[in-house]
Amino acid sequence: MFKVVFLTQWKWSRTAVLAGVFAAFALPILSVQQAGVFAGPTRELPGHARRLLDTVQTWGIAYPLLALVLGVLVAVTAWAADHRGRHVYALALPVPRWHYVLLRFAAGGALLLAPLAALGVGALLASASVTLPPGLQAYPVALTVRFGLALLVAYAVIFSISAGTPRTAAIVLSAIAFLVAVEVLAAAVHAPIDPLQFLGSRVLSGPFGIFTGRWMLIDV
Amino acid sequence: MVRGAWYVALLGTLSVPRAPAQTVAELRQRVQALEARHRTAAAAANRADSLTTGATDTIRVGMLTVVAAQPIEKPVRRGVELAWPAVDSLYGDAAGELKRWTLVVWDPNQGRVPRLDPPKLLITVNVNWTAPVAIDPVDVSRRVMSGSAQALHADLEGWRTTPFHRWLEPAPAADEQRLISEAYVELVTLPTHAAQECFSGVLERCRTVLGAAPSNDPRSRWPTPDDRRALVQRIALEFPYVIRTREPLLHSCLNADQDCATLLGSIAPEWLPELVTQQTRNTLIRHAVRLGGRRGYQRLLQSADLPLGVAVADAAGLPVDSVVASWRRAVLAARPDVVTTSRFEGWLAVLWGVVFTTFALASTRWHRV
Repeated sequence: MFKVVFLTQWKWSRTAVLAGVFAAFALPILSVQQAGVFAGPTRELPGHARRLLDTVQTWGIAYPLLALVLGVLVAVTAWAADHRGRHVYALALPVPRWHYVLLRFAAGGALLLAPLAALGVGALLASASVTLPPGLQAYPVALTVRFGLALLVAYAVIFSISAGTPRTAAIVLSAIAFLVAVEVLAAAVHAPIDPLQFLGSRVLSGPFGIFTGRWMLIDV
Repeated sequence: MVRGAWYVALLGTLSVPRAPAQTVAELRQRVQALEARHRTAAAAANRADSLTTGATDTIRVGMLTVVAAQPIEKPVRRGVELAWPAVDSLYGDAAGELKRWTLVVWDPNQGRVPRLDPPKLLITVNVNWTAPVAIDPVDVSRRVMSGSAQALHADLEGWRTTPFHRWLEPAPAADEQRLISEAYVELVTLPTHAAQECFSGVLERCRTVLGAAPSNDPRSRWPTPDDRRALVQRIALEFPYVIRTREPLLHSCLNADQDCATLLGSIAPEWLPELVTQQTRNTLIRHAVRLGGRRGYQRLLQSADLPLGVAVADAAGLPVDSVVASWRRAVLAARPDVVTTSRFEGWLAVLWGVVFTTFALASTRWHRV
């Protein structure tokens, strides 16, 4: 049954997954290519190591962003067909709900392994392609592990929201909209409250903590 | 003609939209809104009135005396309360000198500066007089820290005017930690052998790199022939006029290290680049002051004419090598977090994944279709 669920989910989300594979493979290579002018034969010139770090750092935001986008797309497509068909297909299957949910989750997770592997290969190739200045190191494995964990968290969060009733999704969205409205109103009357920042700091130190930090393929 | 006018009048009457507040409830609502706006305007006018009358409050926190306009007394007091621990922890007993100063928090739109006995120092701020929170206490705290530094060093010649002065400004603890982390990155990324050896633990090289060595000889600052050759090439490229009259030495330097050393020795010291930035050097001075306890900064102030190595040793009350070794340990401990995920962080992410997936298992979606 897993095979069937996996294949249908692949059919629905292959565009996103293939785009993710391409982006994940290209990202580390592009970042190193841009920083390459500060590596190689000129790596020991004054300031080059620092500029290499700065260049790699500018690409750092792209990794957690890609993990977030991929997690969201695969999680949403995992449930889209069920929502459209009002869950008739799922109810017709001879399995309990929890079993079906786990099958869906595992199939999506397995699909996300492809971009994860692509990032790993890309990062290894990119690291091997440069001679780094003394003092700097490449972290292809650590970057891949962090990317994988970020994918897992983003996928699990959106998967659980998508699996809920439209009422649940409406409550979540309404709560976010309410906070945005309070933020706008507070800014308009110069009130010293910032609910989005308050919530953001808690979310980033909680479930989304893995998305923070220095996402750098090359670092000290 | 008259009939046509009636038609026009009728059409005009019909096309006019209904006035927005026609019912009693709507009129009441509008009156309440107007009253609220009136109250806000009156509050702003009161604040402005109190400014024109020049009403000020004096805030005393620790050794700091700060004068501010009455309407902004609260946020300014909060800012001074934030600033004082940073000022006190850096300057220690030297901060006692600030007791005779009055810092005046002043907005250029505020009108005349309050008349106070000298010495006084203006701390310029921008105040939004009509906002409920007219000024950010964190911004005030930073300005008060900077003002305290200006007041404390007011009698020192060269305060902030020499490129490599050694006097420090208080900073929040988070900023100090960031500076020392940046010193780590700088030490790691400097291409000179002296910096690399300092990183590996050769204290003498750390002193050289930080400008705290007893000798300023280029041979010790650029200890290998490769370093010296690279430096000469850099100077030839960036400041060719400095070595124009020494062309023969410049050419022979490529093959003979002795000529490179001679060439560097003949260049005025101000043309030779510093090995680290002033920011990194300041982390050493700051570290020495902290090691020296409450009298550390006072001793640093008394060492204005002494070489940096002696000054930091005096400030810390320790031999210079001990200060540099302690500084190096602090820098190594402040290595920035790289992308590596700690075991705890990794398990936490997995745990969040499991928690959210469990929410999906418990969904009531199928009970509702």
